[in-house]
Amino acid sequence: MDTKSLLAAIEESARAGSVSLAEITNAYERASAVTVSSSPDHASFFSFKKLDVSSVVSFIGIGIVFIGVLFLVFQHWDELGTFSRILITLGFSLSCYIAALGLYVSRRFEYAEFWIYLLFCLVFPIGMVVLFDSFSLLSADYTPSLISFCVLVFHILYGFATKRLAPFLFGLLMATYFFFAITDFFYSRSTFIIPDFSLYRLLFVSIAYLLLGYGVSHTVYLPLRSFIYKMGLIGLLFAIFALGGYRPDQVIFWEFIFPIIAVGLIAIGIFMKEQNFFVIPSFGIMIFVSKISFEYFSDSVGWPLTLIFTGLILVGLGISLIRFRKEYFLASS
Amino acid sequence: MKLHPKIALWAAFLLPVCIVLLAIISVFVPQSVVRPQHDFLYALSSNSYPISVSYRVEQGVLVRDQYQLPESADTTLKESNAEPRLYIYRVASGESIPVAYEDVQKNGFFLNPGISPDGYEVAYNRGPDNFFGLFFGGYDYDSRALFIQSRFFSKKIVLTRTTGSYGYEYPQFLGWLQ
Repeated sequence: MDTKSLLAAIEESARAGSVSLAEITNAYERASAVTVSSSPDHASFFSFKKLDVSSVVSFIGIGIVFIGVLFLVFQHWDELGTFSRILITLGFSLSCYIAALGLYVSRRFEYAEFWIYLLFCLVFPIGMVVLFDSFSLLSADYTPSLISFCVLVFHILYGFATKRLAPFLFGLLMATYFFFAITDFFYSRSTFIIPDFSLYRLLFVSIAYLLLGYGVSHTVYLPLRSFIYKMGLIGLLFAIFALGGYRPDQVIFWEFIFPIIAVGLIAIGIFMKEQNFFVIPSFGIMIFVSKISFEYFSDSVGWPLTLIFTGLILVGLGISLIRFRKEYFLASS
Repeated sequence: MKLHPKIALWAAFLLPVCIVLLAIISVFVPQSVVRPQHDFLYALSSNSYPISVSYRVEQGVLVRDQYQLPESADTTLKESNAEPRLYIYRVASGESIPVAYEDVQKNGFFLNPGISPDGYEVAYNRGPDNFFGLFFGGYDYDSRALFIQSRFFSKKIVLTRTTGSYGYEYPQFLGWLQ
């Protein structure tokens, strides 16, 4: 089959819905050991295992530029006027934004585009803080919401224009910050008091991350799926763990539900053939077993014995989980 | 059964949006749901740690501690350590009535610095959950405000300003009047 007819067959199958983008990219990745993405540069950065030397050097270079801007601003802060402060930070970051867009449009130096955009991501929030500080608005309680919203809008616009991974990732992180900031803003004005409100928010955000991770499976943002899953799983398990509290303020409901959720996530992992759903909940179960042992048994059997028993339980659990992983994950992949 | 990725994407977007909407709606719940039955006594000071005079409650009775500032203390320190002023907060009218220490003694008020008999307490900031507030700006701390709180509801009360609109003042809750 020549290339033309192969592509035509793929197009036809995609139109009919019999093949998804993820299936095509997965097949290509398996055959060529190359991560497929909408862009040649972003994907290699977000697939950390495949980071090459030039990426690492570029990353260090961007870090040095970022630190340089910070030093420049703070060393000469008193000597600089308001306009200069804004120009150095906000102006610089906006020029990076425009330059990155320009490079994208011209389709030249696409590799540099990513790094210049990364510089924008780092400096722009500082520029916004300087801008707000110049107008004495930094201490206002709506400032975090407003700054994060402005930064988010820039990421969304860039993302819509380019379909790159970086604006999606940084936009997602900024959207998460915005969510916490805006709910804090309204909650502080609310008549209600919800104990552990932050943990409940973290719980819902983590569920949203897990859904998002599943949702991006069939899109060009597939390389970010693993990162999104990790964030969601860690957030979800941490929230439930923290909601459980510690004796004498423990909440039995959350302590009871933690292992059920963790095992449930592992089951979902088997169903979806997703290793993150196995590794992170497994660590969660180990930490949970240690916590429960010390919480309930250290008083009755004493600390040394609790340590010994907990250690033995963890060894047993670890061996079982490794065997379980071999059987259900490694074998299937 | 397999969840369609598009539905998952919509759910991932709508879940946080719903929580933000609930947070917005919660602002419109009137503070009149917080209805304590007891007035309370508080002190307002221009210094967060008054040195010359301070008040405390011992077994329900207001105690005044007085210290002599050294002669060498500078004028600014002496001025900033002006004696804290006492007020009774009338919950029915929402007014703060100035009261002298001697009058509190004379009336023989029993002060309860903990939870009122009807289940309310006075806090210095909106709590109990301000962990993320420190990072996201929602930490509601006002040096001129106190919060009357039950388990699930909170009401902010802005106290009488006596040192000008820009002067910092530090309230000290002393106890419910019983």
